[in-house]
Amino acid sequence: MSALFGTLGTWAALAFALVLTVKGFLGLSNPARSSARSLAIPAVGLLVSAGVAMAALEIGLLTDDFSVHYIANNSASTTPFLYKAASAWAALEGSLVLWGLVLAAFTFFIWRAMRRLEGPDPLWAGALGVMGVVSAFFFFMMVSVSNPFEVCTQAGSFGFGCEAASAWPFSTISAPLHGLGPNPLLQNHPLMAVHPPLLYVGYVGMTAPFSFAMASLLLGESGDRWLRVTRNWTRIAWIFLTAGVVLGGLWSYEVLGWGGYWAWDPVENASFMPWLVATMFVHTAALQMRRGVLQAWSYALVIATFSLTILGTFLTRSGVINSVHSFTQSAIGPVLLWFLMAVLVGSFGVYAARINRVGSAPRLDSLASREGMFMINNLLLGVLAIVVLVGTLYPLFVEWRTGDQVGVGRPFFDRMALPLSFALLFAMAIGPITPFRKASPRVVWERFRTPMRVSLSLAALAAILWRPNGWILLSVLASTFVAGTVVRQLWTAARKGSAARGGNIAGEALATMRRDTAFWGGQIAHVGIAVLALGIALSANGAVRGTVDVDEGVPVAFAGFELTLVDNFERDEPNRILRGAVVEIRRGGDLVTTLQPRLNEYRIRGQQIASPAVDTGLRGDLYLSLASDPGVFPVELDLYWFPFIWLVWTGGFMAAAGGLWAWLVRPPRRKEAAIPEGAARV
Amino acid sequence: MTDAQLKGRRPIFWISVGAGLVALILLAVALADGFGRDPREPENIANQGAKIDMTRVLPLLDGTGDVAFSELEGKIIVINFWASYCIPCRAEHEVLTTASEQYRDQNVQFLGIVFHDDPDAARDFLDTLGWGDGYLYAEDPGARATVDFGVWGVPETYFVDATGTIVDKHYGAITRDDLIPVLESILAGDSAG
Amino acid sequence: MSERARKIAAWVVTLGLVATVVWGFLAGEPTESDRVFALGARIKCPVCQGESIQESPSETAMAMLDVVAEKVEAGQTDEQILEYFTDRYGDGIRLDPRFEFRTMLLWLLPAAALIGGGLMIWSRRRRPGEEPS
Repeated sequence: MSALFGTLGTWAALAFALVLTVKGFLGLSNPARSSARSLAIPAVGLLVSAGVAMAALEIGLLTDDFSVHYIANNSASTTPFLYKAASAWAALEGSLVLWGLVLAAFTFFIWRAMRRLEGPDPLWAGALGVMGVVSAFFFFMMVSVSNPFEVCTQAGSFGFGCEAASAWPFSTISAPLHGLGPNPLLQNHPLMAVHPPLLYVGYVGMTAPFSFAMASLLLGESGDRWLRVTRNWTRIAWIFLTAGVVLGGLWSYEVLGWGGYWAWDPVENASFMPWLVATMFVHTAALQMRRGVLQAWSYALVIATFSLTILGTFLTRSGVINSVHSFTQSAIGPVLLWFLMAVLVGSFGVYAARINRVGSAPRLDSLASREGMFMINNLLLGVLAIVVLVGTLYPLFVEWRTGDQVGVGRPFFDRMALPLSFALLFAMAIGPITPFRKASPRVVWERFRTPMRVSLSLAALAAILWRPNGWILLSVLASTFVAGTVVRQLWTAARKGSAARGGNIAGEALATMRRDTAFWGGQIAHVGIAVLALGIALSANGAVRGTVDVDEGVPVAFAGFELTLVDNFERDEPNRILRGAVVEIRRGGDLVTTLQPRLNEYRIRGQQIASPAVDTGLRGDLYLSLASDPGVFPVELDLYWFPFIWLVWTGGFMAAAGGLWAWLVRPPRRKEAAIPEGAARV
Repeated sequence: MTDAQLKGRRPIFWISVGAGLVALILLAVALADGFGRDPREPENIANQGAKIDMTRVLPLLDGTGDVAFSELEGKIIVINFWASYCIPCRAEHEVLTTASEQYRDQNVQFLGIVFHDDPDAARDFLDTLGWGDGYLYAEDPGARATVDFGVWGVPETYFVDATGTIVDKHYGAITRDDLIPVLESILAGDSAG
Repeated sequence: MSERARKIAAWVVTLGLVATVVWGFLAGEPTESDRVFALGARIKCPVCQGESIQESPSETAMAMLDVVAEKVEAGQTDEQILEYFTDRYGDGIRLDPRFEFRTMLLWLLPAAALIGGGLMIWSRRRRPGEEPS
C-alpha cells in the first residue's frame, strides 16, 4: 500500500510542479494571469501530494512494510520507533522525499503569503514558477533515478533485505521477512532524527530568496522589493542552516567516538559553504535595504547560495567523494550534475543578461564606513568560502588531470581559516559600531575604547593567571571585544532611553532590542559566534588526549581525574547488543560521575559501533570511548578532556537564536519610541 | 541607472562571462570524471615499481614458524592482505586458493597477510573456508608490513615479480579475471627477460 | 585629578595591558612542540574518514604513529617521514598537500580572491570630485 500511495504522491507532485512552472511563468510574462487564485491548484496540490508521499513512506516504515525496497533495506521490525521514523531520511531515496516535502511546504507558504496581496503580481507568480522548476526536478528524480517507492521483487538471502526492485507498484512482490535496519551509525544517536531535517529546511529554504531573485531579474525589476519580500524566508533558512550545521558537529562528537566535531569532511564542507555565502547574503541584503548599494552583488550571492546547496547535494549523494556520511554511489550523480550545470548556466545567464537593468552601482562616500565594513565582511567570508570550495573540489580536479589522489585535510583548512576567522572576529567587533556613510575616527574611537580596554584587561588577566598559549589568548581578546562592543552599545542606548523615559535599564535594554530586531538579532548572532570561537580555541588548545589499559578496580589518573573500571555489562535490546564498561570518575577522591562507554553491536548488519560516554561539566567534557572489548581485561580506553567545549554548542545555538530574534520578535506597540534606533547608531 | 551602464557592456563583462564558462566546464568535467570510480581506489599505484623489503620475517599463522622474505627471493609473490571480518575477503578467498594451486609449479608463491585481526579469528576463517594448498598465511605483528606496503584497507592484493619489484596492486575483492592476466603477463615478462 | 592627567593615566594603563598581552603571547605555553603529534596530524588515517592518524584510535593509525615515532627517534626530518608514507600510500595520505605545480591553485585561488575582492571594494569608493551619493 505505501508503495502505491507513495508512487501516486510523487507522480502527482511532479505533475503539480510542472503545472506550477507553466502557470508561474505565464504569470511572470503576463500580469493579468499572475493572481494567487490562478496558482492555487498547483501550489496546494504540490503540498498535498508531497505530504501523501511522505506519509506513505512514514506509515510504511512504522508498519514494517518490507514490500517496499527502501524500507526493507533501511528499517527493521526491531528498530526502535524513533529510528524507524528517522529512517525516512537515513538513506538517499528517502531523504529526497523529505527534501521534496520541505520544498513543497515553502512553495505553499509563499503562495499563502501571495494570497494576502492586493492584486496580481508577476514577481510572486514568477517566483512560484521557479519554485515549480526546482520541485519538478526533485520529484522527477524520485520517479526516475532515485525512487524510494520501488516494490521488492526479489527478497535477499535468508529473507533479509531486498535485492531487486521494480518501479511499477503492481509488480509481483516478493517481500523479505526481515528488514536490514538503518546504517548503525545512523541509529546510534537520537540527534539523527533532528539534524537532517533541520539542515534540509536550511538548504531548501534558500530556494525561496533564489526564486524571487530570479523572478526579479527576469522582470528586470530594479530595487529591493524581492529582498523585502523574502526577508523572513531567508532568515528561517539561515536559522535552520546554522542549527543544522551545529547539530551536525554535535552529532559527530557524540557518535563518532574520536572526540572531534569538525573534520573538514566534504559533507561538512557541503553544509558550511552555503552557510558562509548565505551569511554574506544576509549582510548585503541588510545593507542594500538600508542604503541601496550592492544590488547586483545580492543577486550573485543568492544565486551562489542556491547553487552551493545543489553542489552540496551532489557531493554528498553522487559517490564521487569519499566521506563519512556520503550515501552510496547511484545513478543520481549524473542527473544532479546536469541540474547543477543547468542552474549555474541558467541563473548566471539571466544574471548576466539583466544585471545592467537592475543593478546600480553608487559609489561609497568613504570606505571607512559601515558600508565599507559590510564589504570587508563579504570579502573575508567570501575568501573563506573559496578556501573551503577549492579545498573540497581540488582533489577531484587533480585526480582527473593526473590520476593521483591528493589529500586536502585539516592542516590545510585550519591554516587558511585561522587568520580569516580572527580577521572576521575583529571586523565583527568594529563593523556594528562604525557609522554609515562616513565614519569619523573620533566617533569610532569613542565607541571602541572601553570594550577594547575591557578585553585587553581580560586577556592580560588570563595571560597572568593561566599562561595559556597564544591562540587562546587571541581568542579571548577577540571574543570579549566582540561581546564588549555589543554590550556597550546596548548599555548606551538603554541608559539614554532610561534617562528620557525614566524606565529601568534592563527594561530599556529589552525595549531597545525589540525596536530594531534585525540589528539586535544580528548582534545576538555575533555574540554567539564570538562564544563559539572562544569554545573552539579553548577546547582545541586545551585538549588532553590519552589511551590507557585499565584493569578492574585499578585506578588510573587522567587530566586531574581518577578513573576506575568497576564493572562491565552486556545488555540485550531487540535491535542490538550493548556491551559496556562502568567507569567511576573521581576528582580529589569525590565521586564525580559514573560513565558507561559502550560498544553497540547491531544484530542484522553485524556491525560494532563504539558509543562514547561524555560527562559535561562547567569546566569541560570528559569523553570516554572504548577501544577494545569491555569484557576482556585489561580494557583499552580512549580518553579525552575538552575544556569548555560546551561553549561551541552554546555559541552556535546562540547564533541561530539571533536569527530567531530577528524573525519572531515584534517591536513593542508603544508609539513613543521617539528616538529612531537608526539615528542613535549613526 | 547611469548612462555609462546603458551604453553597453564593458570588456570586463565579457571577460567575466568567458572566465565563468571556462570555470564551469572545468568543474563539470572534474566532477563527471568521478562517476563510476570508487573514490577509495586511486587510479595510480604509489609504490608501483618499488622494491619490497626482502629482509622481512613474519610469523606464520598456523604456528609452524616464520616466513622469511629472503627465502622467497627469485619467486613471483602474490601478497594478499585480508581479515576475517572483511566480507569481500570471503568472496575472493576461493579465487586466490585456486590460483595458488594452479600456479604453484610456475614459481609463484601466494602469501596471505592478516590485517588487524585476532589470529584466532583468522584461523577460524581459514578452518571454515579452507587453507590454500602451499599458500602461506602470516601474521603481521605491529602492522609493520601493512604500513610498509601502504595498505589502505582490506582486501588488497600486491603482485611482486621475481626481482622483488611491486608490479601491480588490486583494491578490493579480486576476481579471476583481474588476477590471471596480471600473473600471466608477469610470467611472460620473466621468460622473455 | 585633571582631565589631562586622567587621559595620560588611561593611556599608560592601556599600554601596560597591551604589553602584558604581548608578553602572554610570547611567554605562553608553546603550541604543541611534539613532532610526533604534529606529524601525526598531517597524515591521514587510511582506514578512517577524514581523520588523521593522530586523532584516530584505529589500529592502523596507531601502527603508523608508531612508525612516525620511530623515525623521529631515528632523527629523520619531517619531510623524509612524510615522503616515506607518500611513497607507499600516494599523495592521498597527506592531509596537508605539498606546495607543487599541480596543487598551486589551492593557495593561489584564495589569494587571488582576496586581492581581487580587495581591489573591487577599493574601486567602489567615491573618487575625489565626484558627487556624493
